[in-house]
Amino acid sequence: MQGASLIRKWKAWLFMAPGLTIFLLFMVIPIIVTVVISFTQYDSLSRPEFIGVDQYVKMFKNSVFRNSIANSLLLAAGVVLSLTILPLPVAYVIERNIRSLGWTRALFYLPVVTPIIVSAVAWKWVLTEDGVLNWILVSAGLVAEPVRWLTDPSIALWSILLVVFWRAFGFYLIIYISGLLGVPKELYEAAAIDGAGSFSTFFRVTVPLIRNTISLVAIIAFINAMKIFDEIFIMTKGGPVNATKTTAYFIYEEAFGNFKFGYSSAMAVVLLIIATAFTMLMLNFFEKDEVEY
Amino acid sequence: MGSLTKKASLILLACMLLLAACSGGGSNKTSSSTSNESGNNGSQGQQSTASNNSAETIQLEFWTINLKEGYSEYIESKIADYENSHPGIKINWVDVPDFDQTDVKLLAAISGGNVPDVVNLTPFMIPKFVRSGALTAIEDIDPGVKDRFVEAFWDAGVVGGKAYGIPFYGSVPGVFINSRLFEAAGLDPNKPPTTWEEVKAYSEQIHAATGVAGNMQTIDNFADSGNPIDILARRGVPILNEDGTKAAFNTPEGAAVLGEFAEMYQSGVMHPDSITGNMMDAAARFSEEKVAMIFPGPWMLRWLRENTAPETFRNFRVYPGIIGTDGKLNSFLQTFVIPAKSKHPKEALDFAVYFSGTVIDLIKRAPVAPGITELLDDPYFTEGPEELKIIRDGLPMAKFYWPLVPGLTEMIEALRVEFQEAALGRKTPQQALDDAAARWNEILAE
Repeated sequence: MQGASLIRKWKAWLFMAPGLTIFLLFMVIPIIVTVVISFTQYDSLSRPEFIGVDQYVKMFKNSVFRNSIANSLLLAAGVVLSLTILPLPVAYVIERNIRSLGWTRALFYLPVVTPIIVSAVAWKWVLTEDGVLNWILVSAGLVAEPVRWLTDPSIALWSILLVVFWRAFGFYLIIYISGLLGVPKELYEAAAIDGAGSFSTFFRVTVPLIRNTISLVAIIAFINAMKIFDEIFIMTKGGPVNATKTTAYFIYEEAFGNFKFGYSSAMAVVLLIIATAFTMLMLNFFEKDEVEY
Repeated sequence: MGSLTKKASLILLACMLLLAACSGGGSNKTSSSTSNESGNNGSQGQQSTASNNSAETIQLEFWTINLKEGYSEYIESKIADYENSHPGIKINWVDVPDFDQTDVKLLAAISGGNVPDVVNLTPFMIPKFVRSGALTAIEDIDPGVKDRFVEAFWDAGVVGGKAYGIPFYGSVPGVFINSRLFEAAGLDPNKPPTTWEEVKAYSEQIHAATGVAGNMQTIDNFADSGNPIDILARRGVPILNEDGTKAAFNTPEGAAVLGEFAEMYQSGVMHPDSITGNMMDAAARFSEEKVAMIFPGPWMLRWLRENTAPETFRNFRVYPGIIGTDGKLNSFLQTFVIPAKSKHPKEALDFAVYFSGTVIDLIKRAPVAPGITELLDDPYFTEGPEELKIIRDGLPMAKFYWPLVPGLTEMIEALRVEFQEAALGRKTPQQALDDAAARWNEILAE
């Protein structure tokens, strides 16, 4: 019996091994290495030189870094709020009213599967001062002058948010549709019998039952938001005046532009801590007993 | 039996996953999403292409920047000629299409052990590699090679008294105008601006008459129209102090130059994409007739011809570039560098010098200047098309204003951000330059 138990445990480790290996190789070890490098001066071409916490001191004194944290958190807030709230009612309407979900899902998912370079370059053209969007707005009389979507520091970050939202909307919509499919239909019938209208049904029946899905969407959206890089790289390069420079982009710039891997590692460690802290807060916020009717 | 088959399937699946984990790489945005390589041997990043130390064949890996499109035939034929005349040497050509990713790609290659032998690199990227000891000083391989090259081009690759770049081809800026917009504004298209003050005046006139931006001056690193350092230096603003230890551009004269730039931007006379775009954006706006004047090198004419409607292209004229107050023209250059870890530096240098000597064939396709002095007397260069005359006449005045110090790319970025601050009216020009100078002094002190 003891032998059988040992064999069972051995088999369990065997089946966990591939996943654990990937997790260790591509998650744990790189994080440990990054933390170690953050205490060195390292350009990846010569040996690292240990300098203690100098990189962290330099980092916290750097206004560009502090600004990048603010940009990252602002962008994350925008992404989480828009992509947690807006896809849900759309998913609800689609799931309740459209017979064939297949083509609807495909349509909304199209931006998600479009190569990011293609979509970012296309949006850059759309948002340029002479671009299509301004032409539409000016022609329709909605604005008097073209809007500087990518060159006005007060707008550029929200232009990035717009592109991110457009790209990711379909992804979270699909997640919500999947969650809504799990809501028992008889509950809607019961609500209708009790005289509940659409809004009432949505907020009192649907939302509580898909709380876990909402939690999942919010957390994934936040984590993805903290990693936004491609749109910034293609559309604004962190400008103008660092208005779209997030920490993720700044890390790239310092590492691969200026060969300061120690400094960028220190920033990555801080970003990891902030992202983890916020994620745990969100998990705590969403963690409640499951609702059952 | 069924249970056994199920267990076997699960074990097989586990092994497949493990193999997949071992064979795949982690995501690396610098190599997968930004560098779309192409070359004779396909994908370079995944295979070991370091020089082969075989006694029979020496393989040299040769990188160019964005030359595959339109210049493949030239490059492949020259490589074939070299290989035929040098039995035992094989050239593996890799073209890096993203010109602003060459340094990232080179860094990744050297760090990963796949060291190329001859790399086309823009000179302002050289100092940071030199700081890390990643490049070979050319004269350590062949002390006499310097004499073959155009002096101004050779000096553009000198860091700490040693040269690290073999000049490949260079450029001086021109003035591209849209004659239709000039005429619409009452200007004579046969009389282009010859000073930056005239550029401003003409631009204001064009903008007032047509609503179109008069000029576009991007401030990206690769603008051969001039990056922020060039914009100041060509107007006589000193960049560094005499011993090169502190910034010197935050003078009233510097503030006046930046003030003029900011004024043009804020009034709409300069195209709004100037502060965030790059030189190709300027070319695109010019081809769309959204701007009346741009200032790239004459080589841009080829791109415009291929990307502009013929009836619009007929309106374009190219004139000599605007000479600075010091009698010089801010210039641009591409060089070849030899990584320190190259296993065949002598052969690499030989090939680099050879390839630089083939540039007349490149010039027949795009008007640029050769890096080798004797090619300046080549009949094609001396008697070729009108665009080449601009280069011929401008070459004696070529100057590189970039201070070749290790933190150069950081310094250009810091100055660019302050240019943006001033252009957007968030800082006065003097405050912007003072802040840039403070940052430069920090970097220079590191």
